[in-house]
Amino acid sequence: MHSVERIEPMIDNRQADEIQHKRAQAVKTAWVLGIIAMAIFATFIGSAIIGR
Amino acid sequence: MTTQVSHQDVSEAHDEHDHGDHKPTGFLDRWLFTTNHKDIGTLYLVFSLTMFMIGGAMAMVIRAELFMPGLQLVEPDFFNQMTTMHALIMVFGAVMPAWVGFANWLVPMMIGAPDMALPRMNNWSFWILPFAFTMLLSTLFMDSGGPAAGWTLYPPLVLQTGTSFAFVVFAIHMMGVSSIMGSINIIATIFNMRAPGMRLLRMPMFVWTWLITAFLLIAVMPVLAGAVTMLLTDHFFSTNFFNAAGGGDPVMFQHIFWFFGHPEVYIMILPAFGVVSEILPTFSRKPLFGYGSMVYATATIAFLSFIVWAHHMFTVGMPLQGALFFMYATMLISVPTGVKVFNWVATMWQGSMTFETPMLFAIGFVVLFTIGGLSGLMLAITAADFQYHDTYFVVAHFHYVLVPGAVFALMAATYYWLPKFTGNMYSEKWGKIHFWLSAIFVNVLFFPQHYLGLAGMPRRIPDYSPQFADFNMISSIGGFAFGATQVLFVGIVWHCAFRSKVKATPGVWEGSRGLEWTLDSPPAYHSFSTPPEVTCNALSRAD
Repeated sequence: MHSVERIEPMIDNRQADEIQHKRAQAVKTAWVLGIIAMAIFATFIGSAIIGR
Repeated sequence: MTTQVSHQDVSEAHDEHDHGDHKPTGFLDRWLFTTNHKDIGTLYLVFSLTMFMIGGAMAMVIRAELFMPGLQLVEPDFFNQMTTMHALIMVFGAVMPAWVGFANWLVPMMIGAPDMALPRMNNWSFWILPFAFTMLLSTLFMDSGGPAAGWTLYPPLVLQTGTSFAFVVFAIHMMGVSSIMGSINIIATIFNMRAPGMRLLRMPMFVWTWLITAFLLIAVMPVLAGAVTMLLTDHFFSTNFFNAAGGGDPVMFQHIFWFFGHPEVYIMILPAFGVVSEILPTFSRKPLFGYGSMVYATATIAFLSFIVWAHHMFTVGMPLQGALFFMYATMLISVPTGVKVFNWVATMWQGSMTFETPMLFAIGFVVLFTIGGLSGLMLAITAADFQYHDTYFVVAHFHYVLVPGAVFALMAATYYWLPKFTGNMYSEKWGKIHFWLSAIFVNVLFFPQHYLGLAGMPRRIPDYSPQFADFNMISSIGGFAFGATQVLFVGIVWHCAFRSKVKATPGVWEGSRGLEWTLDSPPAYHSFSTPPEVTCNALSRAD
């Protein structure tokens, strides 16, 4: 027998809304991270140009 | 308060709302258009294994040429293409995608999420890769040949590459885009999709190490993209970023490259730390010693990785203060790394240890990675580095970190979670044979290279002085044997996936703990459609 923690299912009709909300938040997180990545790319090329 | 329940109880709790095995039936729908994290994880792992075989074949060419002094098999320029492509393929095509594959499979299951946060982008992240590597490999068949200046792509040498260089740069850009999208997905998933009660400091160490790795990737892949873009414009559009004759500075490329390159090393090794931190407690039947300190040590290593880059380039010349800073900062990394090694040993201390194949590879990792870490400390000493730089000592060092380090951890992870992924047990006898052959031959392959480097043999050469003949022959024999041993690994994985008659239980291992082990083996196509509620630390390693 494999011992694990008690896992309790949540109330069903909350699930769809909950997942949708989580995914909407995740899209916002992704945009922020993507903009950070593009800013780093631009910073390094920009600083190389200005530094010359 | 921890309540002990059987797996059956947990499954019933899940199955009430799970969609079960509603997987697409058509081949293209299942694999080309898939948005399922498990399928995409499998695609990453199969792709990575293919790249390991291709990169490994290139390593065999290198070791065959170096078997004895003199030019035997290949032209020097092709030899240089092999060393360059071997590195690019192993780093970007084999090790990194393998970790992303495990992250795809495991992160959602470990945090109780139904899938990755952005499933369509997940599909795109993977399917960029085969095109990127087809493009990279195709340069070997072009008139101007593949890149031959080493994976570091230093100008001005790399700018002598012909028109195929444009393909190399575009391939690197695509790999970078894939990595950044994959990282964004992992961070977004961990931050937003955790099950109720799965607080950050309850997460399994594999999830923690991948979270930190993903931040590293987002921070440094754009830097590499910037560097290769400037190489591209220097090559084809007459700019002079790195051209001294035009007022540029080739050393600036080295600074930019290694600002990416050193964190890149930790991108390959931090998930390995996570895997070992999962496996050692399972087979020691104890919680991980010092969970909190493991998390902080991982974050500290990641931070320090940004401020040590110039230890790769001591010999270009820099102010004494700069050399001292980079030397001491590099040595500082041994403190959080030492914390980790101490915690792993303390986890095993007085545990009820058993030595199944994943445990053997994990212990092999701890011992052999530490050897790589110690030779790294030697290289960090500025004055001594002038002797070691660009010798086989460096080759021995980073191969100890990456082969019995990262690759052993990948093998440990494969043996540990493959029964969960496939629902079948692998052959323990053949797994152990695979471990012992790998552990012996990886040392025969790489340990003599320390002596070669200390005696002054330069790296990236197809021919060498006769005084280096004996150790090179031993190293090549080890290389051929290690390569042949990995064919055995492919056979074991194939047998487990498609032929094994021994079914895996949901928990698979006696000491396994964590949400992924509460699911069936193999888990349903859609798992945790109903999030579990984690009410105590017992599901994580945090207690």
